[in-house]
Amino acid sequence: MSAFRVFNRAIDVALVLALAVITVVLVVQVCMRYVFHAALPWPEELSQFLLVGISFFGMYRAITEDLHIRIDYLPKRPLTLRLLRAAGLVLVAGLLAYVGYGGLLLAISAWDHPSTALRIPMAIPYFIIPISCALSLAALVGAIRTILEAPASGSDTP
Amino acid sequence: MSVALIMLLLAVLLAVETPIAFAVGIVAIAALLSADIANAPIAAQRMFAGMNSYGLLALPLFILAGNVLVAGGIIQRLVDFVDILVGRVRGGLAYVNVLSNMLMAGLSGSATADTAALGSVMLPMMRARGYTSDFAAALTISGAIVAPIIPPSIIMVIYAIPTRLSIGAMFLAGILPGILIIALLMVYIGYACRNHPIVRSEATEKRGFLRATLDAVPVLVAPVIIVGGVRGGVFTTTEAAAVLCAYALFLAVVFYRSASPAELFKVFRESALTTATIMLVVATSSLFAWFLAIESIPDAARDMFLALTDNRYVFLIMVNLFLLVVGCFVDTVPAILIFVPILQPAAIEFGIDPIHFAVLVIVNLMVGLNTPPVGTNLFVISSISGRSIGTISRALLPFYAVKIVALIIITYVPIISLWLPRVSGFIR
Repeated sequence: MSAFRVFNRAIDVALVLALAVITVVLVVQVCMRYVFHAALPWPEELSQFLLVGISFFGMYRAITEDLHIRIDYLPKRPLTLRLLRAAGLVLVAGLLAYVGYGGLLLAISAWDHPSTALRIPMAIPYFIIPISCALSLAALVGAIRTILEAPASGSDTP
Repeated sequence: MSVALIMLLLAVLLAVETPIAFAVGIVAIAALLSADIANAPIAAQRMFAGMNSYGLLALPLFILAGNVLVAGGIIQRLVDFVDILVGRVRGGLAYVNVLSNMLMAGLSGSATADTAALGSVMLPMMRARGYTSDFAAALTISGAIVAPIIPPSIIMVIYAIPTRLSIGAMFLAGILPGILIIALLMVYIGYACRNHPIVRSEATEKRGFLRATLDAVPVLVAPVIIVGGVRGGVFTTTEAAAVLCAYALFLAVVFYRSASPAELFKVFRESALTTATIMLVVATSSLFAWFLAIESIPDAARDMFLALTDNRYVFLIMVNLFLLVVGCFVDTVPAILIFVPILQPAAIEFGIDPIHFAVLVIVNLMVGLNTPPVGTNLFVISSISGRSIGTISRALLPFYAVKIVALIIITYVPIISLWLPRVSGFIR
């Protein structure tokens, strides 16, 4: 198994764990609220940060697996269409670079801002943005290369 | 940058197959840059804030609960139960199909997930009992459109983001319209299957009514948890989603023992990735909403509609036609996040209840879910049935007529949507 696959597998495990933790802590919170009448202060915030993590790191995995919602009807082989698709993805790279850069500045500026319930520096959840955007940029380079490489004959969708 | 140019850029990006979440983000940033108000840290912060919401936690939980129930093999139990109830009549399995779709809608909030799950069970059964593949495929995806209309609904959780409407009120508002769509489909089945021979499966017959019911009861309890919990004010929607997840995991792992750890890992992973693809649309749409607000586009749209007509029924016809076209080209989640903030202020100005408007928008877009070129469900059922989009689309024609009739009734008879939220005290 290549290092790349191991890394992606590790991200998948993290995504699964994050979703499992959200489910468990929210069920615990329901029990605490309705059975023990003593709601905990942190499950909602923790779950929301994990949801942001799932969303951004899931964005990276969805690029590597071509799962993002898109229209898919163009023939796959003509060069012009492949160039146009690649151009669209170059713009996506621009967007991710912009948001990732913004996220980096945001995280750096937020070291002294504690979160409301967990009291962790907001920089920690904000760092999800630049890290996931950098990973996604790397994945986009791969996706653009795949589009530009001429597909084998017969791979065209009818 | 003018709105027309923005929409043109969006259309071009979508046409060259740019993922819609990114396309929306690109046009929003381009518009903000051209207006000289873009700021990278604020853009990142807005995307983060767009995702960092308690209400949105219901989204991964409903997705996960639906997927766990499907992986746990509950579809066959539901189908067997409904087959015992109505399989005996002429066109029985067609009725079983739509009624199973209705019950699945009470467990899962995604039409596409229901199509994939129910299609793989129902299509072989229907073919074996003499129905054509095209009819079975068209029927399955027509019934599946009630998934986001009958609670729980992932689409309604999304709809609450730009509108700040009560998800509980929307959940209740969707129940009767969903049942109406199923009822109209059953009327059409009565006509379409009038000459179909009565065929019963002996395997199902032997299991008997009691066994099939006992098998299905634990599953049928799940919708009661959601609707009962939310209606009684016991749970918030997010808590109801968490409880539903826990219950689904209990059924699949402990009660039916039908999901292995490896399968569960796969289900969790797929649910997380589905969540991410939807959440990304939510995040970039929050950039788009920033642009809309700065340019006062919802106000401009409201004024434009008011200049065109002062009649609410004419406005509703315009909305219906517009959304039918949008539904053919844009996926439901981005369609809601892009167009609802623009349309809703006008609807309120015309005296339309926002909860009723939400239901009619969702029903409207659901009709588009089954139309080419961007009919997600059509692609799913085409790959399951092995039939081409073209032949299924032809078989769908009478079903479109049924759904349009349902849409007209739901649009022009608001009490169907508003009665349940009213008697439950969600709205006045």
